[in-house]
Amino acid sequence: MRPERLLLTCLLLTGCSDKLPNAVDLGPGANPGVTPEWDGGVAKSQKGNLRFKGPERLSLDLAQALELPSASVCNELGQYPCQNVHGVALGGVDPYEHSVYETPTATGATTPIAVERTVLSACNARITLDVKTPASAVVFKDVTLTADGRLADAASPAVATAVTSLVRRAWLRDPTQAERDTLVRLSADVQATGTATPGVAWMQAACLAVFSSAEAVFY
Amino acid sequence: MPLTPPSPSRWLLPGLLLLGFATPAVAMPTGPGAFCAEYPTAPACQGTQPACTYCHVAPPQRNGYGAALEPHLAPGKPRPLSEADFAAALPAALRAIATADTDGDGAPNQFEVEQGSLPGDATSVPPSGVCGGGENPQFKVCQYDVRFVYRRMLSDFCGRSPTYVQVATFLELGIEEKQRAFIDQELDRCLQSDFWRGKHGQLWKVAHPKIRPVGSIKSGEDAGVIPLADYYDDYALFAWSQTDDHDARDVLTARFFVKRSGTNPTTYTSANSVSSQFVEASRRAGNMTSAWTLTSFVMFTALPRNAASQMYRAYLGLDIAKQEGLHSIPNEPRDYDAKGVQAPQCAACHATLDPLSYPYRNYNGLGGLPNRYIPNRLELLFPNEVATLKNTPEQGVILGQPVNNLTEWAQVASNSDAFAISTVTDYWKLLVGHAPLPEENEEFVRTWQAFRTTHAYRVQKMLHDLIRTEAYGAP
Repeated sequence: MRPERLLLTCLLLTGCSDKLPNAVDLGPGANPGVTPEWDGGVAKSQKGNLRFKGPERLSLDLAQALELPSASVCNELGQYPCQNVHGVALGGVDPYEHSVYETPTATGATTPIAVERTVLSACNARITLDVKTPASAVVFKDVTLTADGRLADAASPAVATAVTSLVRRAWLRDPTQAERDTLVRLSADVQATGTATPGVAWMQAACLAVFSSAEAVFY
Repeated sequence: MPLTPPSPSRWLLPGLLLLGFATPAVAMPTGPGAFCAEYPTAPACQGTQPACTYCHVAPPQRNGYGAALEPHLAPGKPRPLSEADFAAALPAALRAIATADTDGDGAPNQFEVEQGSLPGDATSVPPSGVCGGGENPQFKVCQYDVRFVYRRMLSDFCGRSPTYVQVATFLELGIEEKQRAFIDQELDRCLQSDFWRGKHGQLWKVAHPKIRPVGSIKSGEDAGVIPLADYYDDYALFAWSQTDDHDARDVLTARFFVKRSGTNPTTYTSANSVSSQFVEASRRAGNMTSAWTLTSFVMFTALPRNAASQMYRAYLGLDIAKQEGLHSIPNEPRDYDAKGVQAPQCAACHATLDPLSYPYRNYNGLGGLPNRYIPNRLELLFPNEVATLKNTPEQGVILGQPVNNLTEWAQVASNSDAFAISTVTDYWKLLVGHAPLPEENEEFVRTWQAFRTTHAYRVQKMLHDLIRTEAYGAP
């Protein structure tokens, strides 16, 4: 996990009230949440005992959160499930073929790569469905793209609602205003890279940022 | 990206320590008892005894605590000390260094002993008991947090986080009593899930280090290239013993077999015979006598020390290779198979290991009639081995208690504190993420003791206790 991502997530971790509103996607103005200070500004855990989800939970959570069939979350070469191919890298076991009987006590150097690979694949699957069949879109509902692939209006309620939806699906809470603004501003950064399809690229970046955050991959 | 802090809790793994300090391979089996007599309330003495690492880096090398202790052990007496001299001198030596801080971590030795941290390990410190101030709107960081438990429990047992809507609905229950009841209800639901009990599920994960499967020699379903034995039978019995209202001790004592069938839910049913198992009912001892155990751990061996030590490690948490669980038996090892185990550097462990292994003498692995109990096996199948081999008795000793055969071995093992501690430790590691820490010891002891008594070895009931601990539920 890159330090900046961890820091961002630590900030994001601290922002929400226990009292949740009704379970519908919010518009841009609702529930601004708590804007954390640089260190979170909140009481800290004495244990710090977060646990990594590992291959099975990561895949199952992505499937549930992005409303994908489990088999569609991530496959290498289109046919080998990532949770098997990258099972040990993702903190799993491989008892029958390679005598890896216990999960490692720490994640390896390739774990973040395998996590991002899995998350990005799941995000792409969801985004493809949402963009190609907007009538049945799940996350990026009503997010309009221009003919040249840009977000028609990054400040639109639909974009804010999509961001809220992503956060709720990954973190099981509402985003703070700062979190939501950061993810919306990401669209400008993505567009500035000159990518050919900045709208879809923003969806990918936002989805990856949220679902590969510490708050999403640890529990 | 570390997942867990380095565990300073080796003392919690049951084992005996070589508090013998003088020469290599001189075990002092009286040491742990004397230590616990001096510190009867120490967490390291609650149903277990300190491991070697309490005083040693690796015997005979001492850690700071062992090194500080040694000069106070009967000063002036010639080394090595006899066991009697050692035991007599230990209490005074322990008192002599009680107020010192031998590992330099700021906590005096006696305080560390009483609090459950290691006095010879600077990274192991007593729990601070300090809870940071301030507020945290997301987590109750200093106490049991039902919202956190709900999320974690569903992930642990069902394999999926709750959805946002489920969390909101849970919080709308309002009263914590209702929320706890709901968590219990959901736990029961998840315990039926394939993620928990199905093929390759979490229970199978707990069983992997015990069964140690090898795919290339598996027979039956998912057979390998050289099919020798089917370890799915072992997984099935293990899963049976950990689910529903079954007795966890069945994994060692069952005279029946278990068949797995279906998915979502996966069911396990007992059977008096299955085509892949060959030991007759009167000689069966659960997974200790399964075809896989005999194939994989007995193999071609006359005296199956490997099988005995693996069962000891897997089901009692006592790893002789780490000098845990040593109960030296007088006049052992006898070295019936002439392997030279009476050499001092071997005898320290083999005085425990060999009597532990004798009850396996008639259980055959590979060769001859495989995976069966064969009376006079050593005489029949090893005629060209050393003549004393046939003198190997079937009677043995486990945890210092004589037994006539392997089924009695299994009974003693499964009724021991070590079995209950090992079983609960397996789940502690799976669900809390590490072996019990010093600050978790009180809850840990309470959990395994209730598992033995109140819950009559029912794992599912124990799991309800475990998720109610602060170790599990305080973020």
